[in-house]
Amino acid sequence: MSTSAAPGILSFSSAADRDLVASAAQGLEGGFEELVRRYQRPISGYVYRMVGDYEAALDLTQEIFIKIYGSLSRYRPEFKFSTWIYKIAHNAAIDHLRRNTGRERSLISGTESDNYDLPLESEGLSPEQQSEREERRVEIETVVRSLPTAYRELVVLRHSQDLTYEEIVDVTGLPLGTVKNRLFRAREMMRQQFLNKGITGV
Amino acid sequence: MSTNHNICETENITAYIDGELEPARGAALEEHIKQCARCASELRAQRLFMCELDSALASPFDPAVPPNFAQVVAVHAESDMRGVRDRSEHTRALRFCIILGLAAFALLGVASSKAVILNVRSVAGKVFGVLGLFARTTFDAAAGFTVISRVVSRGLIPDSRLAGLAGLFLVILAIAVLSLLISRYHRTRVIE
Repeated sequence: MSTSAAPGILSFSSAADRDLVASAAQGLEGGFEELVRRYQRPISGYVYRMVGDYEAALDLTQEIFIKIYGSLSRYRPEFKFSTWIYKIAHNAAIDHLRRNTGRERSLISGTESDNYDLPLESEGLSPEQQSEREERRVEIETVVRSLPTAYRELVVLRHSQDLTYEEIVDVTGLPLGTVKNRLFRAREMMRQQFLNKGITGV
Repeated sequence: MSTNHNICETENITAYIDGELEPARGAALEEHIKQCARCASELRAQRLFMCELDSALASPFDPAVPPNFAQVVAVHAESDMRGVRDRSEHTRALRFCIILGLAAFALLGVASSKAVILNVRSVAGKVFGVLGLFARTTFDAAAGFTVISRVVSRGLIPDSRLAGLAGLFLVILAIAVLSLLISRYHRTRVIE
């Protein structure tokens, strides 16, 4: 039994997103699980930075993947799969924030200590480096959190998920000029906040 | 000169670092930076800032998910069948549902009609049974009364033709007197 399962897992892990989508849409077992495994960290990371709550982010991530599974038949292979699922995640995150406008306010005024509850993985660094890096990271995460949603989502998509401007346009549906302008403004706002906090070197 | 003035805007510098500036404008910016210390300094500062952002928000710092998250999500998603099937499958499923619904309705109809007929038959049987019992009781009572009256009349009245005629006469007389009394009674009621 295990000998027959192993080649399947290996072939799924090396398969392209499109092939996994096709196998999942045909109802083959394992294809969709591999897709979730590939995108669970990026999507949960994006959602976490959008909603600011780890548990809510996990729930929303699950909801997003269920939506993705339900929409697989509507996916067109000529589009990049990652862009397509970020679009679904973006819509779900925005809907969640609209439903929880009070939560949004508390997210913006959240304290830095919120970041320390997050289970993170960082390997290959000395304890001092880890501490220093973590401190700087927390500062930046806090500043990103303080941005208005319209700016925060673009910063996260660009710097956390490494999407190009064109991909951000596809995900958010905003015009290219608006994306450029908002990203520029968001970075200027962040730099100003760092200056206000007396943080140099950025 | 005006081109140089436009190209060294911070927005263009950030787009250049993002690799999103058009090649011609990128080349113009590079040329400009060679001659402009302020823009070169801005480029270094922006590059450092973006590096910090990239490393702080990079994927290794994405929140960890539970170990069996993918498996759980896949099971939940696969058990939720909404939207997975294409339209033809939906139509086929709808047809099956309609056929099954009609068959169930027909079977229920047959079953209910049988139940109604059986109930009506049972009630009718009971009603006819009661009526039959009542009729038989009345007939038996009348027959019994006839037998008793015949026995009594034989004991009291001698069995002769003269006595029979006398009895018949008395009956006719009684009927006549009775009708006379009734007509008189009605007449006095009208006068009053």
